[in-house]
Amino acid sequence: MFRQLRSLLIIFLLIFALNAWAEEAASPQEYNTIFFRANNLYREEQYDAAIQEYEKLISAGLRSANIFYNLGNCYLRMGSRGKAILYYERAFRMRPRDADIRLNLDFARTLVEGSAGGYNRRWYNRMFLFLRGFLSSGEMTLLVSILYFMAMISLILSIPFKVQRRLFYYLAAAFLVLFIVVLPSFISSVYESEFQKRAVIMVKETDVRFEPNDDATVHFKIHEGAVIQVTRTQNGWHQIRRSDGRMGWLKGEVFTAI
Amino acid sequence: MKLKHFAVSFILLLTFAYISLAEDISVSASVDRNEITLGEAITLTVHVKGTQSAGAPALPKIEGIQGRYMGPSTRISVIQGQSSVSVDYSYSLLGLKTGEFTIPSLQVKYRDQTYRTEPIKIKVVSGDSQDSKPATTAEQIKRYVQLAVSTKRKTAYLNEGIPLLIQLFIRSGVDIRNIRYPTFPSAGFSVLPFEKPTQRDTIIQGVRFRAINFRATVYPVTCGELTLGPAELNCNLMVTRSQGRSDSRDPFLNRRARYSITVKSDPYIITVKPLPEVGRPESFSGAVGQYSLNVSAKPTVLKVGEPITLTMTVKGQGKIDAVTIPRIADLSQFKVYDPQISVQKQGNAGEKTFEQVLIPRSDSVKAIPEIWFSYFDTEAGRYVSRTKSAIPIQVAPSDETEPLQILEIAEGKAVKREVLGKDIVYIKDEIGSVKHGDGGLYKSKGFLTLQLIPLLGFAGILVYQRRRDRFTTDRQFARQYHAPRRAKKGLTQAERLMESGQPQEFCSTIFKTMQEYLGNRFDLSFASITIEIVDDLRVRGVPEEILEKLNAFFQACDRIRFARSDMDENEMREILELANESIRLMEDAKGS
Repeated sequence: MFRQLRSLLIIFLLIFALNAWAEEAASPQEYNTIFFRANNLYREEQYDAAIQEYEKLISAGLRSANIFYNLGNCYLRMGSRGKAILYYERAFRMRPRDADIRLNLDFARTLVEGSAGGYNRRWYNRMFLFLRGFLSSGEMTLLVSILYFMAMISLILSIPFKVQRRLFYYLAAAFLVLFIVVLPSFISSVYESEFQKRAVIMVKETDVRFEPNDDATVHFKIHEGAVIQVTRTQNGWHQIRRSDGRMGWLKGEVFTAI
Repeated sequence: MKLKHFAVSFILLLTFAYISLAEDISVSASVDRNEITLGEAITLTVHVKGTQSAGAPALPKIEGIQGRYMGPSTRISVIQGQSSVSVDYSYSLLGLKTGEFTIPSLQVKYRDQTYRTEPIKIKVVSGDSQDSKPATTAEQIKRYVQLAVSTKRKTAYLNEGIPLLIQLFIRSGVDIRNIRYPTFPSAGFSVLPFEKPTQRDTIIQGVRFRAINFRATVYPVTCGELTLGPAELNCNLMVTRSQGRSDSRDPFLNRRARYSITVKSDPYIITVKPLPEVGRPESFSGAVGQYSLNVSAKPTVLKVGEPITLTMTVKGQGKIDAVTIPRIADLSQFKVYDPQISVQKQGNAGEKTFEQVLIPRSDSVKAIPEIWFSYFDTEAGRYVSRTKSAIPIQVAPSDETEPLQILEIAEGKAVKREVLGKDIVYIKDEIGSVKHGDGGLYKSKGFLTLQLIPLLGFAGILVYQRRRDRFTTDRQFARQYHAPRRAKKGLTQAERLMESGQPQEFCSTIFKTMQEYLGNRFDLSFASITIEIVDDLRVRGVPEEILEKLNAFFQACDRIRFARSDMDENEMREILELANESIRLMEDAKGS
């Protein structure tokens, strides 16, 4: 039985390594050089130049929580609250447990007039989607995959090993329960990424109206840095939802998706 | 030794002389009683304080009184470093007839100065009027112990402090113990606690008394005629032998006895006037007496948000508890906190200090406004306002980088609470973990493909295990399953033998192969399979075509095996072909 459990552990580690390989890639030395150059420009308070360097990395297809975070700092120092929050949100999505990212995002939100928006804190969200603010999308995917793998492997092993069948059934059940617990957070994360278009307002202030036309009554005003959810687009108008649930239509491309 | 005595005496003499020279003298006279019976004697004492060298005064002749000089007694006392000397000259006066007599003023000459005593009245009564029973009545107690209430005035204003004096007079020679504080009804008054009692000797109508003084301050709280007292005082009266002759008819003087007595005074009436309405300032809040106002502020050079401690002290005579905080003109430019108050009292006087914290709201504040305190001056009979002019201060703007100081009052003192700065955290120094592209892991084709593996694996192993279980439990199925493969193996071997030109071995092998195949295929024993199997198979429904081939195969094999005739390659090939065809057709028939 020890041999079987050892085999199970080896399989687990292999799966993890395989999946992790899909997540990370080593960055070439030149990317590090550009990053450090950008950091030096930031230290010299040349925020514009630092932003250009960081943007080079983004343009090359790199996605790093640290790049986004540093970009957020640059924009905030320059007074662009909207872009700062945009990049902080992107950094937060990649690494939600980073205390620095949380602090700076919270600080940037305090600078926003009116409702800055944020993640839904209703009780059922806290109860069932508790991993949302703790694991990134990739980490959650990995976790769900690993639990699924372990449950399946336990089931597979229960077939040939009749004597230890009960043990493998219990293991499979345990992994399945964990899988079910994590699944809502994972589905919510995927749903948000694919279907809920979260964005940050980039203009200083804009009107949000009840209907998608210029003569409609203004429902509320929304300010730079506010996080919204775009639910519909129609003839250049976008229906948005604010963090408190209020909805309305705003005109033009005045926001950027997170 | 003589020299030593001389030196000591000389020093003492010098001391006495010094004392005598240093002090001024006083002369007084007293009797131990004012009333005696016929044939009884009283003691007249002339007290000279401050010297012992004044001569005894001459006793003048008094009609009806026989006088006799008894002699002097000297005394030296040192109290709190102060030394004093005195001498008492005693005379015995015998009443020869009844009546009232006056002991005239006696003269004492000292250093060209003549000092006179006050005349003393005495009464000589006949023996029958004396009460022979022991003295216990209040009237007789009053002869030895008296209580009196007095103030310095008969009228006062409302809330004005009135010094009250309650005196307990104890006749000389009478021992009083366990003296308690006097009590008295004080309706309409607010009474402060008694001060520490004092005592002194006094002479009343020629009789020497010891006076114990109880001082307090009362404040009338209503207007009109108010009565203080009568006061009562409880004590124990212990009587010892007097200095004069003992009187067997007076138990107070004959033996030592303890009497628990209550001494009562007469009531005292005071008229209380209300405070006048005319001239009453708006800021007056009830303080009555005489007061002064002192104000200080610290610091006077500060920044916006820093505190100033304003100290206002009201000091003087009057009910200090009734003093309220002085008024400050306009404090709208300050943030104001509740003041801390401290009081020091001493009888009807004292001082009250108010410490107030002020915080200027802006650097435009130039001064702490004017402060004033109003009270009613009872001596002047009018209202008085003490004013302190505005105190200039310099308020500088607060530094830009310095956050607003938030102050709290902890135990009456302003304390600064730490205010933390807010800013963003610094940038990251490392690029950290990096991924390429915007897609999530769940979108990766490789990742999704990887997720199929467990499913496929599970399905595969399930199928495998079932098949394996069937092989174990279903023998016929297992034989049928393995039949074609084994047959193929046998046919391959036979073909090899054919090509190597070994007809006998070829025939044996191919026959055996067919036997095994048919045995496995139809779950029969190998040994029982001969040409007769064809009929058997016919019954099982094997197609005729196959049976013909099988029949031809077995006939050919039997001819070679039993006839021991040789066969050429063509014949072997034909047999091989028959075997292959038969097996193939039977497999096809199984599948369909």
